[in-house]
Amino acid sequence: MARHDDAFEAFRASNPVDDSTLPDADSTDARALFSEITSRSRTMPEADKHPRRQLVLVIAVAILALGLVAAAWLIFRDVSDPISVACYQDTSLGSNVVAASPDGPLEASLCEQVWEEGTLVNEAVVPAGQAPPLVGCVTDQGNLAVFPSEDPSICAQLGLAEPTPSSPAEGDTIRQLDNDLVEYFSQHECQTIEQARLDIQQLLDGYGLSEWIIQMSPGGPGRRCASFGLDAPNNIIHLVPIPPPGQ
Amino acid sequence: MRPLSDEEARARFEELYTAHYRKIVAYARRRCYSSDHADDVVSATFLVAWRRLEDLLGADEPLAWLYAVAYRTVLSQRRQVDKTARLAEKATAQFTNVVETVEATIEARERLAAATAATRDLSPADQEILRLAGWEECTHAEIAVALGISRVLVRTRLLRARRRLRAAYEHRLSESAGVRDE
Repeated sequence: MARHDDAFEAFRASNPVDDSTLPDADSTDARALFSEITSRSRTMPEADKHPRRQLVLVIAVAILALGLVAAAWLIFRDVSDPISVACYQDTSLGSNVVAASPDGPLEASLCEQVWEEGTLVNEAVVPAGQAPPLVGCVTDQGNLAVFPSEDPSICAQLGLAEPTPSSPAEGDTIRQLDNDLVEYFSQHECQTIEQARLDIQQLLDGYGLSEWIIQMSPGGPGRRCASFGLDAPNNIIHLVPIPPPGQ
Repeated sequence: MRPLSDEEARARFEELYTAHYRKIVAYARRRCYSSDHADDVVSATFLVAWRRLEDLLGADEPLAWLYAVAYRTVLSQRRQVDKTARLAEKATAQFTNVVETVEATIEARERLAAATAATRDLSPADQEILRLAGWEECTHAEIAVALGISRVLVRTRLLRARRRLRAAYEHRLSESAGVRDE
């Protein structure tokens, strides 16, 4: 029996599905599904009444829905999931929402695909499989909240800002800064706090974020490596001491 | 891409369906709470593919494109079912029990149990990128398409996910060693 010394190899071995049990595309069930799918119109999506195929609601990014991204949350959230666009099902911050993390400019049209794929459905607004008119608003944190509406005053009604030429760009800058910080700390497994401070200051200078400050917490026994927290609302990067990897 | 005739669409769709059906079934079964849910994910994924066939045909990584659709469907199911914490247990019980198919020692069982438990300790984002890399055996380019992120981010996220997995795995192993020694 081979030993799994590496965690990733052990993870691979924990794959719960034996490929030999998988049906082929020419199995009875597969052919039945193929026939059913191809019998449907491609250009005019039918209302899908079958309960097993209804795509119901997806991720509720509660923090975005409430627009209450507290500084503490922003510091401790998993920075591997930058949230930039929230596609809402209705014109309400309490409605169901799909989070999208695009690799490009923040635009309301990014939510069109979510509607066209049927991930978001609101038949009071538009038939399933179609994208309604969309209006984007900017949250306090510079993220884009997109609502199914033609009413340009929806942002004001919801207490959100209307996008300006600069507001999405600010969000993009912060998102890119976040990405760069993630990459920096991934490539430097145990960077000293002082060196991290010098490097991050250069990064901020490069982005023209002169008003940002770097707050450092002192290290201690066993905590000589740096990690970071991003407090975007207050323009602060926190450098936090952590133990070296493996300890 | 020009619109396809009905006959062309059916033929092209059948090619893609035949090529990727098993992979999508595997993807769904590895992540869903039950076989019914897995079937729903497969159905929904290929229905979207049928309706957006031109997009799929134009994709650089068609299989990863399908994974991206399947991923969103799985997430919508999880939100509905709200049983994410039990996914690994249920998936293992629902489908093949891998441990029983190999010559398993107590140590090997502990390692597999530690890996399963360690995976559940991770964030959903870490779990998904590890599954794409380790179970679906996707390239970085495919993972980028499946998750809708850049390749640079794939590299950094995967590195960090593997690091967190290693830490969680070693913690779980030491826990089980402690229990065994008592």
